[in-house]
Amino acid sequence: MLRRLVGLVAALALVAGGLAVMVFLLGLARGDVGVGGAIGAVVGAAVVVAALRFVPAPALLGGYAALVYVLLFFPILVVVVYAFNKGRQVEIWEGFSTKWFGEALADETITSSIGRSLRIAFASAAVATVFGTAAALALARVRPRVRVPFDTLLFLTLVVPELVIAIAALIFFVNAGFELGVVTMFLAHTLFNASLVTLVVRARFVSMGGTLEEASADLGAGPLATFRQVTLPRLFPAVLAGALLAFTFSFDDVIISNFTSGAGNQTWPLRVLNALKFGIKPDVNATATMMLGVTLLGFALAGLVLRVSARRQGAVGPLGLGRPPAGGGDAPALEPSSERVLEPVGGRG
Amino acid sequence: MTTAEAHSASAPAATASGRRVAGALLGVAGVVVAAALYTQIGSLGLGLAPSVALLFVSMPLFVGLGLVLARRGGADGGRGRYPLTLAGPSLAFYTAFFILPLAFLILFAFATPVGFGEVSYGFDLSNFDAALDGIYVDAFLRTLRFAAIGTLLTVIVGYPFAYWLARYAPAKRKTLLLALVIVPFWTSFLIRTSSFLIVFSDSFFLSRWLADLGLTDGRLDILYTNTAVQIGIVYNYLPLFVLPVYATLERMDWRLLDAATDLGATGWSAFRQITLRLTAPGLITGALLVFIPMMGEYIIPLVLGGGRVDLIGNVIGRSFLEQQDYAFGSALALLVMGALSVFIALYLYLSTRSEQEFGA
Repeated sequence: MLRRLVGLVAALALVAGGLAVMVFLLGLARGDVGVGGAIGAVVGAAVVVAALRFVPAPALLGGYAALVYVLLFFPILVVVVYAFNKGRQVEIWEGFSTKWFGEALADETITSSIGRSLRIAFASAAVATVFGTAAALALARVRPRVRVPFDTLLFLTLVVPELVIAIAALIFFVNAGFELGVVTMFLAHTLFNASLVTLVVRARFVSMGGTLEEASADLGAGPLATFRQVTLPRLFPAVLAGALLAFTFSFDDVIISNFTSGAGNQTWPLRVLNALKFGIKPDVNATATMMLGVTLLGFALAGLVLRVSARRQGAVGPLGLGRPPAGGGDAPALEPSSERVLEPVGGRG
Repeated sequence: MTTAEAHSASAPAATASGRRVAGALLGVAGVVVAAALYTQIGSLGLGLAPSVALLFVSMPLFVGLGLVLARRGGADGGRGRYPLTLAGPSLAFYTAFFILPLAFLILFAFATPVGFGEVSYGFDLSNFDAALDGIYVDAFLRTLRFAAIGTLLTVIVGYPFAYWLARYAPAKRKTLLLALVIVPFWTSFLIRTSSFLIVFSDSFFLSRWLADLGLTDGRLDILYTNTAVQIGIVYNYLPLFVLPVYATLERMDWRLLDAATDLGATGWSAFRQITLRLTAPGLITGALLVFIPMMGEYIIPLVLGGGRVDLIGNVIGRSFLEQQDYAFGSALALLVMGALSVFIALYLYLSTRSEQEFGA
């Protein structure tokens, strides 16, 4: 306990000292240096050196990590707290009130935009999961000559900035005669989502090795039976993770939706963007708080169910939801121990 | 599939190369037909739903194309392998909603603007000429600076954190601690960003505390400045960096460090020569993963910059949503992509080199 406290204090001192030095250097670059700044910089540098020298690395890093968690959650905490603000202007605290929750639920523009977002996200995640999983299965174990062109395409959909995809989609939709709306948003979201699912699922599929599929084929199972009985059960966590990622991306997307929504088809993020333009009210915060609560509850329940069912099976831990969905192309690496249980023969690719 | 592969494998070389040419030709023809189809969908007088239905009906074309490619590659089938045709839907989708839109973007960049959002196609370089104007070059350089500083700060904040998570985090709670990095993603990105409007406002306790400590003279002049945008950028992209770096750090064999210290290396030089070099691929991937979207950042400057911080993404966005000058916006976007491709090439070079070096 004491060690942790020392680590936290040392990390705080480290960050403060580092900031003091940085501010001083920035001032130096701009040419305005005060005596206070110089003293601060010297003290800061001394603190940094002392912290690095005298505090053991694990404690220092632990304290640092705690600070990063605070940084990650502080803004969300602020959103939740200010959802209970009585005043009309969100940033000026005028007292406690829950009235904005009621107002948010009664506001048709908010509820309808959330409904629209949910519809788009469900549809996009479903289609992207099917397309992406199919592509991942097909491409995981083929020769580079076939794989590389597809990989390039996949890579491009991920590295081209979202803004560029958004404007290209806008030009295309307008010129191909599509009317901008829910369907165009769904199509544009699904593009990125399909790549996301392909990446996550393929990473897992490749690391699983092909021995069981081969055995299944040798025992006379057709591709469909092999998929249902051998591949899917083991691949399911990755498929679920991909679907969740896709859903999250689509539900939270601002840029692509902003360009491909047309008039009067606000999704929830677009509703927030609109509120930001005209001064945000606490009703947006109240809605976000309720949504966060529902999501956390849902995930806690799902995690509980998975844990119970995993314990009953006595097999691998709660892979699907207990494991965070993201992780770029390297999802399996997040939990290497589970691979070994499933893969007695180390046949890769 | 198995028979098809066996057949193509036993076929003489001459037939194989003939088939290859035929496959390539068919592929090109397929793309041309698809392009014609998709670009004319609107003028066929169909509604949106029939158009999308048409798209899905036309998919067998690509599935056929995939079949031809598969035979050409001779890699389809095999015991327990899934047929390559499964990639057909994705391929069709990418063609329709990625390659074609990008083709349109290029077409528009070289077109002459006539009226709002309309162009006449041609080969007109005036858009690029306009896009290379000093104001826009400045905006681009400003964006580059924001992205570079943002990436650097993200690395400084994120790498030690990922290191702790991979090496020192209590093993029992690791999954939970990792999940906590994702949880912020469940609150809308816009909401998280806009919460900084509260945090940086003068009525928030942070402003008063800093003033009481004598660090500011009463007002926290951060909101609607570069600093606010920079903080917002780092905050939003941090998890995106932490996760891939954590994935590489997780695979580290920490005994290597013990060996190094046993052999007389100091902690720092062991870190530099072993950990840093072994995790370099993940570090580079993570850095690029945040750098590229930072270059196209559009929303954060809008929210936290309050219109006073103008990045290149905002210029491009405005030219589409406000000025309706699609041709100019397309040209500017192409130029930015061109500049970005330099970084992507650098990344590819670095990551393949480090992979060869360490067999990662």
